[in-house]
Amino acid sequence: MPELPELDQIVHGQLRLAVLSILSAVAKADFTFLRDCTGSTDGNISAHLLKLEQAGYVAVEKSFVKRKPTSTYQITSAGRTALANYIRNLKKLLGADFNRSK
Amino acid sequence: MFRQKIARFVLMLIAGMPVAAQALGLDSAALIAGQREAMKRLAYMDGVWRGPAWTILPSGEKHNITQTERIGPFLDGSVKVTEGRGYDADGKVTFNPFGKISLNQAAKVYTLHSHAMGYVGDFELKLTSDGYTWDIPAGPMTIHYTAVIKDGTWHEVGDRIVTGKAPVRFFEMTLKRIGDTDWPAAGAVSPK
Repeated sequence: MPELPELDQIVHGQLRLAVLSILSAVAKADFTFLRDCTGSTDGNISAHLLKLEQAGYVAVEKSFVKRKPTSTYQITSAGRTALANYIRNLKKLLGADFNRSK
Repeated sequence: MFRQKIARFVLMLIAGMPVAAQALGLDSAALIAGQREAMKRLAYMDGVWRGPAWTILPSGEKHNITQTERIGPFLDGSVKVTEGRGYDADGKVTFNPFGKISLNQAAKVYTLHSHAMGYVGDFELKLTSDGYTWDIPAGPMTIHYTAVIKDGTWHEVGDRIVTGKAPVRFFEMTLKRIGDTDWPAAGAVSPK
């Protein structure tokens, strides 16, 4: 059996992939923005953001804006590399037909 | 001996290039002429521009800057080069994007190769009757820019679009054309 490219399981989660995709296009995004963009709930996205943070794929900055606590997220260099590798490996996994159809 | 072999190989390469290009139906002069003709549609962008701009920060605050752009043709007019500088009220540059617009003749699409805030990407520039639009896909969201350039005014807006929700405007700039520029073609190095 041919060796299949490995997909990074941290990136592979639907919500985590969506978050990384958003953060790859914007400089920074706050918690509410990411939650609303992905149509997620507070609890669900918190758990996935924590996973990304623990993997070193996103960095969080906590501050107060108008006396309200705010968490602002940013993709890290490791996160950007992981996302690029994931896309490359996914293309390999999908095979030549997918790449030809582009 | 080795050097002679290398020299012969280089000569073969040079001599073979036009033949190979012709065999593939490629002609540099024709390619450049086609690209130059295509870039004429964007000639209205050339010059120096300045005006107010605002963006919404991640905190939700509105951040006002003075945005400038300098834009000009390069490579014999076959590509267009852009540099923007966004200045804070204290004169500090806080936004400094650089772009190259070119025509992909095979695909018949204009491409914007953009560098901004450490981010790099290639985006299709869709020309309209008086400007252009371009998108940055970002997973469930699309960042959509619309520019209208006419009568010496360049108005561009950016919207965040999520399916099923109203677009959220996060960027707007209104620039006035303030003059011509010989950038980036000026200052080429002469042979002597």
